[in-house]
Amino acid sequence: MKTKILAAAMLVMALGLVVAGGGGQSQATGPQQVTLDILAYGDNSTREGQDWNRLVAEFQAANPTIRIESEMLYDQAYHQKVEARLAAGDVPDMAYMWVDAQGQAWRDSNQFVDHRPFLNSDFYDLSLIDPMGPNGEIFQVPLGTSNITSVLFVNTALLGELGLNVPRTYAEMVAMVPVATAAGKEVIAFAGAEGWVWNSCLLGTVVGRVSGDGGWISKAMAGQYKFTDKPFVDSLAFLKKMVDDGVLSSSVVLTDYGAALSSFVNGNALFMLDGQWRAGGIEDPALQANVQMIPFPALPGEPSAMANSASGVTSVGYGLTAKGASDPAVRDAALKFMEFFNSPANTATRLADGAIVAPILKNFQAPADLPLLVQEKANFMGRMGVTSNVVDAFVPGEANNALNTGMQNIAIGRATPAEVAAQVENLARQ
Amino acid sequence: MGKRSRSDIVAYVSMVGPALLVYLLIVAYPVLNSVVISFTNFNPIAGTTPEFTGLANYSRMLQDPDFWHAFRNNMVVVGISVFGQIPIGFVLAYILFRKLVRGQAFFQAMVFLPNFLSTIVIGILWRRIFLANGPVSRVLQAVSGDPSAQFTMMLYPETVMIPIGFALIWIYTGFFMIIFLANLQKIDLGLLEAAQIDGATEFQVFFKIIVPMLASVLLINAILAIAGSLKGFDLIFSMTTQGIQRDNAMVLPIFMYQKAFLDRSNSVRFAYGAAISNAIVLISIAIILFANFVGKKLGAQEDI
Amino acid sequence: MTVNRFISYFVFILWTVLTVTPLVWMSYSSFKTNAELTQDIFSMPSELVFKTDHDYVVSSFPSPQTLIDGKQRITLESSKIRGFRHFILVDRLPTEFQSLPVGQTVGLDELPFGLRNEILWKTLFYNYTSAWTRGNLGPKFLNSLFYVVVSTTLIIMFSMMASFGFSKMQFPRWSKFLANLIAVGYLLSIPAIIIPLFIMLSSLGLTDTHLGITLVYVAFGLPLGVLLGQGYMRGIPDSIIESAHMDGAGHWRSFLSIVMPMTVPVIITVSIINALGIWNEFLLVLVMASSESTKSLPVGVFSFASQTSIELGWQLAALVIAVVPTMVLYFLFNKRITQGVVAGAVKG
Repeated sequence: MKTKILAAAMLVMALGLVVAGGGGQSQATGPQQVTLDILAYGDNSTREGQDWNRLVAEFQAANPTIRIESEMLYDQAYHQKVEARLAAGDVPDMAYMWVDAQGQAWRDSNQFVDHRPFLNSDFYDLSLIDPMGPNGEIFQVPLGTSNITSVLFVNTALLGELGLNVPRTYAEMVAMVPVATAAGKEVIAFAGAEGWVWNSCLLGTVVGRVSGDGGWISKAMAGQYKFTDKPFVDSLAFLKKMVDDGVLSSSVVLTDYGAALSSFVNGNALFMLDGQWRAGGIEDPALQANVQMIPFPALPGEPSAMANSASGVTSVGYGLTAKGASDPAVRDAALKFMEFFNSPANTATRLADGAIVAPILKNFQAPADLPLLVQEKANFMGRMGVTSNVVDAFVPGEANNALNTGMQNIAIGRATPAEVAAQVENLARQ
Repeated sequence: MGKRSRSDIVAYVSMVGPALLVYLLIVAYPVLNSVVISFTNFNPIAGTTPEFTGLANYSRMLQDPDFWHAFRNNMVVVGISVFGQIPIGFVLAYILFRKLVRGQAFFQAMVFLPNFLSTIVIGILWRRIFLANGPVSRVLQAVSGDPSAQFTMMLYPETVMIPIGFALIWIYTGFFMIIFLANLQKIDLGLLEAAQIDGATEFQVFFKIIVPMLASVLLINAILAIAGSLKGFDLIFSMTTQGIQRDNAMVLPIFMYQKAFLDRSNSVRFAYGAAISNAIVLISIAIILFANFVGKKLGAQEDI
Repeated sequence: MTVNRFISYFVFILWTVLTVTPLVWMSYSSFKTNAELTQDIFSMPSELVFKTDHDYVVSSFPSPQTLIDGKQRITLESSKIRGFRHFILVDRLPTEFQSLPVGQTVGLDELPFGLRNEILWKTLFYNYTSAWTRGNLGPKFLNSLFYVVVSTTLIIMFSMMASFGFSKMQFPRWSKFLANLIAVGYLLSIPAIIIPLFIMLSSLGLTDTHLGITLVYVAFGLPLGVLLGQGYMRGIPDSIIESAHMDGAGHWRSFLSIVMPMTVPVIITVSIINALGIWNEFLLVLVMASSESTKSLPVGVFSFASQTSIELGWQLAALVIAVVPTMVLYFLFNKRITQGVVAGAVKG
């Protein structure tokens, strides 16, 4: 019996080692074949990720000389893989590239390459692509125009029930608090348990309005201002004011990302403050018809130049790495894939799914039957004023962490705006 | 025993060799690498040649107040593990061993069951439990009569380790319980019966016979608990939301992860992270040696 | 009932309740749509459970099977659940349905009984089929199985052999040193060395291979195996081995025939701990496995969640798929642990 077990174990081991030698990727074969190594971003939680395999298969079927080897990851896993691969010298040809602080790894390893000489200006509307480098370079092809990270979703049906109107000013919102509380509703559903939400979805807009300068954050990082200056401290103080006024509920710091959406979708909140991508979470058609997306109402004393401003960042997209661009065959294959990826049909799908607000293609015709919220996004873009900086796109790691935690502590009264501002200033300059 | 012959040596090498080989290849090299890197300004992404910077990374770590905060929290976790999970695990194993309850297989499975779920799932579920208007808050509201009462322990550094400690005990006690149980199997039941016939109570049997017999297992488990506390990452990471919760509950592995992986603006972050990892290992070794010392004093026979 | 017994029961029952509740939640929630979960995370499922009032709309989305076998199919798209489609062979529909225009609404109760039942069952298991196909869980499941079985087998073999060498063979100074060396490995966690590990394995060409991933799992499983194996083997009296030697048995013989059967409880313990750990292990495989052929189940499970959105219904279904096999196996092995298995004829 024991010898049999032993024999079985050895067999398993031998079998295991034999099979284990394999696995992994294979090389392109055949004449004239180009292999394109892509590091893709996405997962099964978004349409983009779900569609990736289909898009790759379609492209390869139409282009038999190009073979795509892709790996798809998301969030931290993606960034870690980027770093691991760059550290090991295993650079992909094409990848989903952030050009702000999150794309630091590409910058450090000199993998950014200017796409302006290669991009087909009849296909892409280059004026819709923000410059990404000091000389106006374009390092990747964004999926769409700027990603707006701070949008106030309004449940107009609920407002109507309570006899309220869509607010134009912050004071109007404060006036709504007693009415909402009496009806057992929150005013703004906000995922305050997550530090980054305070940063991306609120602070950027507030700083822009209070300081009167959409680019205040980037200028502060460049040394022109200090975070301990009045505009930044006042912005932080405003966050506390929102909690004190009841516009943000007292349990806002205990509301996580799913709970905030839940609250809004269930009609337990008048508004929801989040990024434009959150529109995809509103699945009920009845609610969709009653949702309006507006920029944050006017803050007391804001300059008219910043009226209706909202924070936004350049969209992320796929770009060639320096390695990919160095081989003309690979480069051409990659550009071809990008044009397929951004084809009018695929862009229309992306638009309908809510992945982008507006495309960067030339002469794009939006399909007639877009879902309600996509149309509403277009309405939003019409209502919006200038774009202001998203704070975490400029402020580096430790300072940003301190800021996020600091904002939450301000909300629960454990820290003052002045203290947090001083911390951020200190860490940002190291 | 006798002297060692050549065949003895061959047998020894063939017994120990495979494990050693795999271990050295996979573990030794990266660890040595990590130790070396921690003294340099290694930046693999920019591809620059690393320069020797001495103790710069270590002193940076020691001057960071977050490090000490994480260290204190970690000591709390060690305490919860050694003085919570192990005694409870031991008692539960004993109860099962002595068949004091019926349905042992079932109860054993239940206590060990949390180990099946990945810690990330457990973290997500428990996080939901503690958030605004979650089950715990609802219970509080019902008990206190205040409809806006919320469970706020997760928000303050003084109290955050209580709910986390609770989760830690629930999850990991089962792990120690089955180790104790496996070792309890070795004990001759006849011995226990004889003691009981002589008039010993359950308590006396437990403290005077069982505990001394399992003293070395207790020590091993204590060491495993200490090691696990100092490298455990998943649970606390997924139980806390990013921001004050995670900062309050920060433990050393999370501190390392944030500095080495998330702080993208720091170009020497991998070297810095390596220094922190090495420090964590050194701290673990120090605590374990201490535990070993205490254990020997208290009667455990073999040291590791 | 004595006080002892009462307290014991109380503790165990409390533990059971605490443990079972999340599992129960996970199970019934895996039958809810994402929209339902957003609305109320604790409520009972309703949308997917045999509702006959769902409407379907005829859509123009082409059926992938039609492209293969050429048979005509009608696509019915659910108006409640985004992206949920049924492709029905035209022949199976009653004549009045066979040529419906695109956009026409079809009530579920208008369809023939057999067809309706089929659709109801498919609706019930919508999350599971979605999770399985979108997450490509089939190959991942097999990979997880491979990693667990091969790694655990190797961990047991190598660590028990080494434990025997360290505890029962007469090389005390070497043994102490080497055993400590391996034991120290328990202090390491994967995030701590992932970058140098990845770089090294990359240069050896072992990343994204079954061999590479298995080797790492084995290396990380050895410390515990050696620690527990040694501790247990020390408790086995030397006299047993000596008498075997007297009878002419060599080292390997005593190891295999005598010591191994006596260490079964610890072998089982180490196997279970490692198997569970590897089955649920996520970070290593995430970093090392790039291609679908090497990814394991946890990667598939967690592919349904990101920072800003989550398909909770599908993820829960994937989690259930991941948990059920482990629980089944555990309950099978459970008896061996509580009853104690000490083979061998030697009396203490």
